[in-house]
Amino acid sequence: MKDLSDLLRTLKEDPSFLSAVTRWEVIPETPGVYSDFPVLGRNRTLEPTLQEALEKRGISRLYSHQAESCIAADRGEDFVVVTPTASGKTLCYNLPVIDRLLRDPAAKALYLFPTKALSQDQQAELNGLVEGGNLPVKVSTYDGDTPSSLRVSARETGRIVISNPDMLHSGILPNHPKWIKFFSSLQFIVIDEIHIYRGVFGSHMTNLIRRLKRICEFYGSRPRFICCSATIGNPRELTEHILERPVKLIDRNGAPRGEKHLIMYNPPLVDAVQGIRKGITNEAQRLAVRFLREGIKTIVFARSRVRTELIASYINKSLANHFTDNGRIKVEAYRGGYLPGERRAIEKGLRDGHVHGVVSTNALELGIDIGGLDLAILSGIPGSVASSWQQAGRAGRRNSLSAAILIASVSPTDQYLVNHPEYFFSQNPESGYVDPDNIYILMDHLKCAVFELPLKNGESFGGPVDELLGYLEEEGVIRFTGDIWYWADRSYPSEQISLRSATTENVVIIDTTGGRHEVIGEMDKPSAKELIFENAVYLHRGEQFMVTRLDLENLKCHVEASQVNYYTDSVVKTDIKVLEEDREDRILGLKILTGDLLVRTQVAKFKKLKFQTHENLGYGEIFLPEEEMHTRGVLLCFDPEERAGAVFQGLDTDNQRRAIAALGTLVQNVAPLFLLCERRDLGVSERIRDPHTQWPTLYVYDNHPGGTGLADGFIDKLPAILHASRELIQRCPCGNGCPSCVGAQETAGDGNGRDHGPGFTGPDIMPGLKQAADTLLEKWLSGEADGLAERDEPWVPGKTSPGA
Amino acid sequence: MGSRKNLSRRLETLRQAGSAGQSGKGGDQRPAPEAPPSPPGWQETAPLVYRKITTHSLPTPLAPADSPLLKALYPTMVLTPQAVEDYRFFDLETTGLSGGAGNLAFLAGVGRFRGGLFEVTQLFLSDYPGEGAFLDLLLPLLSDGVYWVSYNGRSFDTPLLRSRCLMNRRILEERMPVDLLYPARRLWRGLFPDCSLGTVEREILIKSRELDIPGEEIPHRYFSYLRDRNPGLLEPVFSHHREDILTLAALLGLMEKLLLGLLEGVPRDLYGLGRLCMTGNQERAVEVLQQGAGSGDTRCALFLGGWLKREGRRREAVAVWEALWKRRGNTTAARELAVHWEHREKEYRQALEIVQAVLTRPFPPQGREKEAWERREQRLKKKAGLSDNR
Repeated sequence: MKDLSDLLRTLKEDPSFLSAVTRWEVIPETPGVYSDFPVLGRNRTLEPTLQEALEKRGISRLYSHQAESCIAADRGEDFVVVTPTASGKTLCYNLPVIDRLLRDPAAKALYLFPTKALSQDQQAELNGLVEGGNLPVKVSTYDGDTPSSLRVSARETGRIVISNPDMLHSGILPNHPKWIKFFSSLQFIVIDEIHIYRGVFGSHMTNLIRRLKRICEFYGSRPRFICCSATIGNPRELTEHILERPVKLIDRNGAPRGEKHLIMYNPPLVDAVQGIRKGITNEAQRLAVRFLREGIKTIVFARSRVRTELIASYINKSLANHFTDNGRIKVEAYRGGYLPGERRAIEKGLRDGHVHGVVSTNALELGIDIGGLDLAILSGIPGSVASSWQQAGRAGRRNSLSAAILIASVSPTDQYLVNHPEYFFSQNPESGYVDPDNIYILMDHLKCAVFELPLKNGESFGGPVDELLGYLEEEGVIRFTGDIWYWADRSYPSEQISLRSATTENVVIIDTTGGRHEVIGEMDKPSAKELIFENAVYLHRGEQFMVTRLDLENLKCHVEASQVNYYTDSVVKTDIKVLEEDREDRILGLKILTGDLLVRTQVAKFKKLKFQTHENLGYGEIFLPEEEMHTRGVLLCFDPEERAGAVFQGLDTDNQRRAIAALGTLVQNVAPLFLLCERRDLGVSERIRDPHTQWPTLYVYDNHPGGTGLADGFIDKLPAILHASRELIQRCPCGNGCPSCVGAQETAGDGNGRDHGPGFTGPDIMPGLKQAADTLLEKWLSGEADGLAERDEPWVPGKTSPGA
Repeated sequence: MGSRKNLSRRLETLRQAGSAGQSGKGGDQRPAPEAPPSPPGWQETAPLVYRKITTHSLPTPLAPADSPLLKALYPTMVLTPQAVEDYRFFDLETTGLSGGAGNLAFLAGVGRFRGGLFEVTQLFLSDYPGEGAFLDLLLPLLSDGVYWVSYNGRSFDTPLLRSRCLMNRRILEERMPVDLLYPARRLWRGLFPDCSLGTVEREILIKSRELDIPGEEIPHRYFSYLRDRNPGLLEPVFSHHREDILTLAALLGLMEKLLLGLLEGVPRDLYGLGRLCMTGNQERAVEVLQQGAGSGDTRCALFLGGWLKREGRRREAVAVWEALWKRRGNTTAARELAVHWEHREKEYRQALEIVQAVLTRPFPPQGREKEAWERREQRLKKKAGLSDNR
């Protein structure tokens, strides 16, 4: 077997591989920056017993960022640590926290992790440190899996309580009187992976922190926050938005790093005219097999649950052909929806080397400990540079060589990145932002806050809330009397509010093959409609099932083992109604309306796609009720009275249709880079003559109930998004438009096919898409040269700060 | 913080989406909190807090110095004798049915025996701001007692009161709980569909209430009262609550009598009763369990046999097992007997007879159990000199 450096050398000499590489970046080895155990205030050192415990684990000095964290905590500062994966981040909070707990026997700390899996990891890590060093610090996990027999002792005697935001929200805060001892002596709150809390989830998190602070204040404690983040554009800003107080940033990484190769790979064109490239699924499989055969531990990231299953099964199939009597190379799929036991077993297999390769969704992007891997293959570049680095960083150890291959899909975003590798390497990753005053989210948490502790009139909850309280009073759930707002309903509000998505419900997937009745997985309800409708093919760890019944009312899905040669992909239809306009802007001579929308989506049919070739074998019907969502959106109106509209009117009828369809695709694909969201977080739909505005109109809306502020942020970013779109068109090598720029006929297996509004079907309008869009953008944007100067931002999403 | 600016408009939209046609009057004009009129028969004792004291002639429950009920509840504690006057019977009505910090008590009642009569003090909180005063009135009524008699108070009323005190910065001095739910479950589980206070009252105390309301309706009535101040809605709540406290007192007396054997003809589970008696009055327990065993209750017989064995009363234990084995073919009893004959009395043939009877019965033991019996059979055959192998 060859080692990784041999393999990389071979690849470098392989012209067919190299011709597809747009950039081969070698990040040299970095030596560590070390520090002795720091001297804290009043010439104190870390507690001797803690130092001994560290020395027992072979730690006799610290990385500079760890020492910096100890000093910041000692000074009573709130701070956020930003360093790459595997840089010893956990000690940045464990050291100062344990030091304090050892000095002050009453002190307590709360650790919040975004997932239960990470909590388990941290519990194990802390146990090692605490038990190994005989430190009198009790660490308790308190989450949905904690048996009630252990809950009392966690509350009463846990010095470090490890939990997650959901449990804090629905279990701990509403029952705070039971936690009096804990809250009254709470000194540290640790929030790891804080970059996860952005967008909707982040807005929930900010409100949850508001509630947490209120409760601490009630019990007379003022805990300090220690946060950790993966590399994002604005870690300090995001942390400050979530905590709503200033924090110190610690971002000088002192940990050493092995040499790392980052390879940007654009699959070869199969048909240059239509812009069709080799599929990323097969390319990822081919590359992974090449390395796995040589014993290189490899992780492949796929963009969707279905892709994850497909790539894993393709890899296993091709390995089986060559190693029929040799089961040494074991490759697993990994994604949300597996049963916890299955996931733990795969994680453990990766750590102990029993599993050699894994194909995962972004579920493994987070800091779950899966040991050292040598190679990461990204089958499709994630929608954000931050995620790309997270995923690429999954391969890499402190002192040895590692590599990441980023395979670009035909999506415009990927094509942009693969053709602008300098962007990827030189730019800060995107910024994260939250909109805690999102009306739905704020109101939900306000209910919880009043339930937890009556609110004094005029008391701020992240800002004034009198009006909202008045509304809740009319709804009859709270009561205002004696200048105080009281909870006045028999319900327990946090029970009905989920932090993660609009619905709290999961559909349970049951295998009923041959009279069996066995739960094999689960899926959130909205995804269930799109993925496990009746007659859908459901793939689970390499096994294939056919859905026989989807019972949304009882949240059950029955599947049976099947043997067909295709998988399924649903087609979603969307219908939008404007409920209320509340803002009007003019940017670049374009009239923009902002308001509340009602978006109705229906999954009406599905495609059958053949395995391996991904060719379309036919359609099937889906009979499911439509989904209604009340959200925020913007309407880009080409009003002929305004300049943009006038330019638009100047195009002939066919080109108008082409131009607006192309613009929709461009916006859908480019905007996520500027707004730090995923493609699916934004809905885009175009109307050549919109019944509401009477003009050609492009709708861009927030794909979350109530809105997450994406639509409002979109307005500020519009000039940059349009210029980036134009540049994308100009640089694209295709002739008449391709999936990489303005869209084209659906590319087989791309999975990015966008649903155009009514009037946009038929192949006749497809030729000329690109030219139409280019003409529109050129005439429109060049006319505003003066007005652009102060608003326009360079095509550098990472540098832009959201909504400032 | 863009969306807060447009709050009014957004709220308007929300309202339309939520409850069409409901036009609210906004949050700026609100009346100052005013004292509502007293509910008839109630006295305002603090701002927003009303009190009603009623006296009832109830048979004074036996509260013997060595109460078997207290012994059953606290088997390992030495209790100082207390008079019946030291018991406080209490119950709360709350705004929510689940726990959590937003659930509070708006009605509290404490009953006590005084001068041969039963006196119930009810406190009613007519609006939230009075809660501090409400607790100030309630706490002394409770803290001057020694035992707190309740129904499910240990897991509901007391923790709730603890939370309320904490949130109002008051200290709850807790007393020994006598939660009648636990003995009630022992005595009546399986006899009725549930062991709620209402069921027990109906089935055991044969008491019927006029005008009673289901418990789930209570928070709703209180919230309606807060809105329109019509005390008529609460009348049934007040009487329901008072009746609950009277029932507590009656139930305590009934349970003590049951445990002492002074009451016949009341449905009860003899097994549960026997076990309850065991810590306080062993002879009474044996008597009850014998009675149960005699009427064919296997649980009684097995428990009694085991207890007698541990007490060294082997002969009596064997009699219990014999009966159980012979009459009901119980294999646990058979095993006890086989062990007894084999190891105690060395009467191998007698033991073997039982073992073989078990193995040849119409539905013999299966699997591992069967193997254990067969091993025992082989061993006994050897010991009795009857081994097949020779």
